Amino acid sequence: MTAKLIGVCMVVGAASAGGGLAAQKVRLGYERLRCLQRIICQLRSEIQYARACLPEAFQRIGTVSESPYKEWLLSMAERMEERRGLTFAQIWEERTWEYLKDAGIPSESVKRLAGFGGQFGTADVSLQVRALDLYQEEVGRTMEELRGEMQMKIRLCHCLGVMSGIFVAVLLL
Amino acid sequence: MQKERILRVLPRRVRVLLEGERLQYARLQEIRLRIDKPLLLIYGGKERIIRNQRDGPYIVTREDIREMVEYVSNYSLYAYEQEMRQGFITIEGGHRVGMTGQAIIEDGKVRNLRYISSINLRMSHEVIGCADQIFAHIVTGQRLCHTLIISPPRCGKTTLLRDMIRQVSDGNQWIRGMAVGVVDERSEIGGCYMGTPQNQLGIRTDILDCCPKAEGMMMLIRSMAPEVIAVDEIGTAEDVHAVEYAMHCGCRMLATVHADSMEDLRRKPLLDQMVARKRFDRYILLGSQGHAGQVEGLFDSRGSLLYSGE
Repeated sequence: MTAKLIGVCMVVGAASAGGGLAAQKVRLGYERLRCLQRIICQLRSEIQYARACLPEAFQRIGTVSESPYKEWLLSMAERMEERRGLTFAQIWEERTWEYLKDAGIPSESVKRLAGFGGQFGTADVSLQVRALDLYQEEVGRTMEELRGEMQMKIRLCHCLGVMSGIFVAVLLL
Repeated sequence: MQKERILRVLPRRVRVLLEGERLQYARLQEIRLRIDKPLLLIYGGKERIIRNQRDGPYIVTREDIREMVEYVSNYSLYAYEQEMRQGFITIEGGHRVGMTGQAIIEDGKVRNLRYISSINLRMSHEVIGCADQIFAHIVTGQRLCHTLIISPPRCGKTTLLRDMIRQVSDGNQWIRGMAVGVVDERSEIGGCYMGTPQNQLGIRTDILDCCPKAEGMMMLIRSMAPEVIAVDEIGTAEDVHAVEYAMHCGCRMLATVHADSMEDLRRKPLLDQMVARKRFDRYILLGSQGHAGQVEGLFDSRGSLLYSGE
């Protein structure tokens, strides 16, 4: 009986932890977007105020950013220095998918971000600043949506975790 | 170092071709790329057509030009709007990348270039000691004369100015080391990369990179108290006023200007007044009949010949 009880506790515990992890993932997605918003702000300032070149800006922002953005930005700067004949849009897209695809960011946001590189590197500063502002607004909207759903989703993840644990335990008993 | 700096801005296919050419980069003067035209080099004073593996001349493509513009601008054309307006960008090492294409006009002035069709990469060469022969004539009683270097393009005026700055800054047998302020509007004198000069400009030199000359001279006078100010290619009214202001502030002046001769200089508006007012104590006229950087003549403030290179 004691063994069964311990087993039940373990199953329920494991399922709850799974639910907790899923809830953590929801929170992580939101945090990652907030971090991305900060990076876009920095990039905007580097372009508009400092007129910094993109590799230099990525290098500077990358060194003070958190993972996975740090690796993403630094790898882009590195790739640009390699001069392999790729356009900036290609480098941006390739690196975005490689570093941010499985980073917990909502997939729709990653897709939009990957397509964003085509608007960089042109001669018109105001176009780039405007494009960054538009993307910033989009990220802001996605974050708002996420915030609205987040509490409910987190609660749901926890509940489903516990409930599925109990369900499996009942089945096993 | 020179080789890497040059190769890294070239399109991949051109890079491969030049690597196969076994060039002495110190002798390389220009690389010219024009869409649908052969790739040309000016090498050791002579033109050279680069051939591809099939032994025909390598024809530059639109893609090559696009790729090179991306490399030259570090994928960031917006950061070079000011330079593009003048038709060229200076890259690491002080090499000048000139471009032509279709001009975008705003309020009657060139704002930028698009559809770039030709690129000319002109090498900057640091020749340590090329100003040695000049110092005997531009220093009088341990005092540096206000000096203007006059030269047509590609005759080595920036190279000479650079070595003069280095020697004035470090000091030599003619003059003690002096604090030199350099306004390097197009990063050609110092060849600055991220604010640090890549060329030797001496131990007492402060360099203001990518700054308009007139404004830069004022900033230097106010902030760094230079004994000598050096600028390249003066010509506008603002430049001339700033040069005169700097002279009145007690700074010695080293400057360069585009002209073929003293007569040509006197025909230039604004500069003719400077000559008439005897603002400069010495004029160094360069030519390239023998080699780039050859001093054809050295004149005093009245325009009398002091020394002839012939």
